[in-house]
Amino acid sequence: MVVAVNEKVKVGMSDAPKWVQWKLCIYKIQEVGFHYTLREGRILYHLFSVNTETLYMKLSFNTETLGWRLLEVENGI
Amino acid sequence: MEFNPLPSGVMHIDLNSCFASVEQQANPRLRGKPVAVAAFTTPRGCILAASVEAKRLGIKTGMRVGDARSLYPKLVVLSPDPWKYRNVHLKLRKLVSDYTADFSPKSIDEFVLNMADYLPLKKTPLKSVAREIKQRIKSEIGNWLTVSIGMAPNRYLAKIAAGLKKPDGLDEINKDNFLDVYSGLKLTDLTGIKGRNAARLNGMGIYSVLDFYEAPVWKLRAAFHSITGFYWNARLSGYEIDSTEFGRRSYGNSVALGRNLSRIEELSPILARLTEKMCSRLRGAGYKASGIHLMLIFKNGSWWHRGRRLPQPQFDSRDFYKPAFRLLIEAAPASPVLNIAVSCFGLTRADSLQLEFFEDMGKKQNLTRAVDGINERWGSFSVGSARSFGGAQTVIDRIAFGGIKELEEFSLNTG
Repeated sequence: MVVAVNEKVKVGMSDAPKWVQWKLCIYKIQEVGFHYTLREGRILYHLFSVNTETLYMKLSFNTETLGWRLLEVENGI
Repeated sequence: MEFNPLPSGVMHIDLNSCFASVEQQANPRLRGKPVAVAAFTTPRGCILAASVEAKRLGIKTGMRVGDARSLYPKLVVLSPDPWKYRNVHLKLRKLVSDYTADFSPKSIDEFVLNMADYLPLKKTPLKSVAREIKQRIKSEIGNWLTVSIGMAPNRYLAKIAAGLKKPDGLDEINKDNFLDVYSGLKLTDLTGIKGRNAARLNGMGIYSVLDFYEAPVWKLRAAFHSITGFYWNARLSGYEIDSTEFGRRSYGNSVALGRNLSRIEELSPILARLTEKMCSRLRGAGYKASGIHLMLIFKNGSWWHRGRRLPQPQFDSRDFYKPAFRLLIEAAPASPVLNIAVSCFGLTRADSLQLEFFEDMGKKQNLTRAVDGINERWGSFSVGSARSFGGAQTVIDRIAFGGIKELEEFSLNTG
């Protein structure tokens, strides 16, 4: 089941996201399923649908604040 | 008419199960599972796309979520994510532009490429080019995405060829195999021939696609009572008659209501929101419009629509909302409304400003420009009329069905 989260996270990046730190846990990203962009007003967001060993996550990168947010997670249940 | 002897020069690309495949591409945990993307995930929600796995279970586009779940209770139902699909469309557009400048998107998941002037074609067979496009889609856009590609001497037969095998098809209809292909199709397998047209053809003794192809033009003109009969003859003979691209003649927005609403005070904020959205797009494209049209589809299956000409071309949302609201009052919906669609027509370029005696049009233009500027900077509906904010929960971002004209407003500019 997909759960909306919308929380600040830390993301390790090298070409594509490599790991996510959320609630003191670090999740290693196994696969970036899809990367796309959208604009809200002048702000460009990069969105990454990623898969870790235990969770599917949707991450958003705000190119104005350079901040990452975890938008939603899914644990496959 | 003899079949067109020229080699296939048109390629039709159709992304299989578009929305559902893109969701499976984004979330690897969904791959291989029956997935549906629905307007609403509630049992009455309409399925917009079903994955290949869901289609194998009999789940189809247009089905209710509740009906689909009765076929397969574990069906994963997702809400649409329009930006994902727009990005895939734009990436596909960029990819096909590497092969020809003469291409046109027919919907968010369909492209037609005119490859007749594609120079390397002389060295590389069109089928190899198609295989390369399929491979590039997998490596550059998404490895779960598959397309069916059809090739033929004209657009219509290329589309038919693309539909011969799904998913991941690659077929051609040409002078050498058209009789074999036609003999394997039913009349209603042809795009544009459904119940009523099939009955017209049956009335003239045409029962199969082969009969249709072999029928003389006079018989087809008699069946359709118009020149359409000649067009069908040309289409099935591989000659191009569908290459005309029609320009934009209106702007409109619509919404499917997830709740039972029939009172004017419930519907008017939604109408206001739709009207503002429509007008913002109208102004963004540099147009004014001189007419407004409202359509309501009711839960009982009936519908109501009416249009009205405005005294002169307008650009301000308020000048469209007033007549639209009057139309809503005239409609006097008695049963719950399922769908509201508002559109404006009579487009003219907004190059000049017609001054009015009783109103300061310059002031009005400056106000709309300021509002558009704020919304462009901070996001849609950062500023809007108070009445439209009541419709915010209902009028959400959606992909228009069938049309691609809205995609003119998006680009791959990520700088």
